[in-house]
Amino acid sequence: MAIAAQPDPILTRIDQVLRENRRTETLFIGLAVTLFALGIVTLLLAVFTNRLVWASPSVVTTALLYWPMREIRRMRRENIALATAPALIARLPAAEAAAEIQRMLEKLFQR
Amino acid sequence: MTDQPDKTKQVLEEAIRQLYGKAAILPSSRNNYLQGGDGQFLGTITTNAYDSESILNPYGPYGSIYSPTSVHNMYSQYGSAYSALSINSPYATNPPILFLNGVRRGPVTKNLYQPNRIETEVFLYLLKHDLPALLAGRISDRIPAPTTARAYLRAADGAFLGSLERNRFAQDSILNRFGPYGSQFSPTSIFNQFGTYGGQFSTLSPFNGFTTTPPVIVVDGRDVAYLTQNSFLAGEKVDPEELDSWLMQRGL
Repeated sequence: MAIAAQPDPILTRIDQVLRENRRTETLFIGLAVTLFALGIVTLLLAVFTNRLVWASPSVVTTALLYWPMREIRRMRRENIALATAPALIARLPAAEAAAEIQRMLEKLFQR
Repeated sequence: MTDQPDKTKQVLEEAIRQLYGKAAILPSSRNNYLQGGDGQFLGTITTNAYDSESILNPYGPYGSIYSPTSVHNMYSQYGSAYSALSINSPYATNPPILFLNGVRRGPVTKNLYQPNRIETEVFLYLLKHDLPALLAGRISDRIPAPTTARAYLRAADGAFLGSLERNRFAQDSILNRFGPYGSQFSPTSIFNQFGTYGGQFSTLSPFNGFTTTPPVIVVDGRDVAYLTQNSFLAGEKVDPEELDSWLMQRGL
């Protein structure tokens, strides 16, 4: 009787972290879009009402975009590393895969 | 958000640990090596740092700081400060044994009560700075000071991080902004925020508020205090921001 192969626990955990990262990434994208939309609305308001003071909130919201954008970039980098790890584990001998993942980790977290 | 442990980092570290664990097997013919008290092979002592079995290969199963079979991993049973099998525990009952030319030379340990012991600091110093002497069995009992200054900084991985001389023009002083230990661009400087020994995120940095492996201040050949911003670390510690006044108080 054939026994179904058990998935490697570490690969399962990588998949789980990837899914969690994706949720967080979606949240940050939502936040960035909201800030951008708010900025556009206030800018349009300033143009159509001819009251330039309404343009200042858009400056603030645009500046606030820096943080979600930074987090999105970081998560993208982490997700690429996470997606690469299973391929390294599957294709390379254990010691070489470990060394490559360690190099990736050090680059990712600047150790 | 950055204060929480990063799950990506955790899962990748776990993968590395497991892979090195799988890769650590007993090799057939090695003469100079370290063997765990439980019989586990802990790496060969060789001048070729690229040898996958070398204890000095930071990307090998016996030299990586993530590997469960590495004495350089502070969290492994062979490198932890608390394990009975570790080179770093002062209470180790079964520390790793050094073999040279196939002959047992003695346990490498911080446990003062182990007979024929080889002091861990001496072993690590020779391993990193005088490998021919170690391979030839010339193991002395004291580590030569890497500086003429009375006080200096040593990283948890054994690297010299500069003297604590208050002369800003001394080449090896950490206060010399243009020297190898004081420049913000030098890889051996604690002030390089992107280097191994500086910044808020490196575990070997004094500016990491959560690290358990910060640099040590050595005065007159003795480890006196940790240089760290981790206020929860046991033992005497000095905040990097208060180092100058601490040195003045001690007349250094």
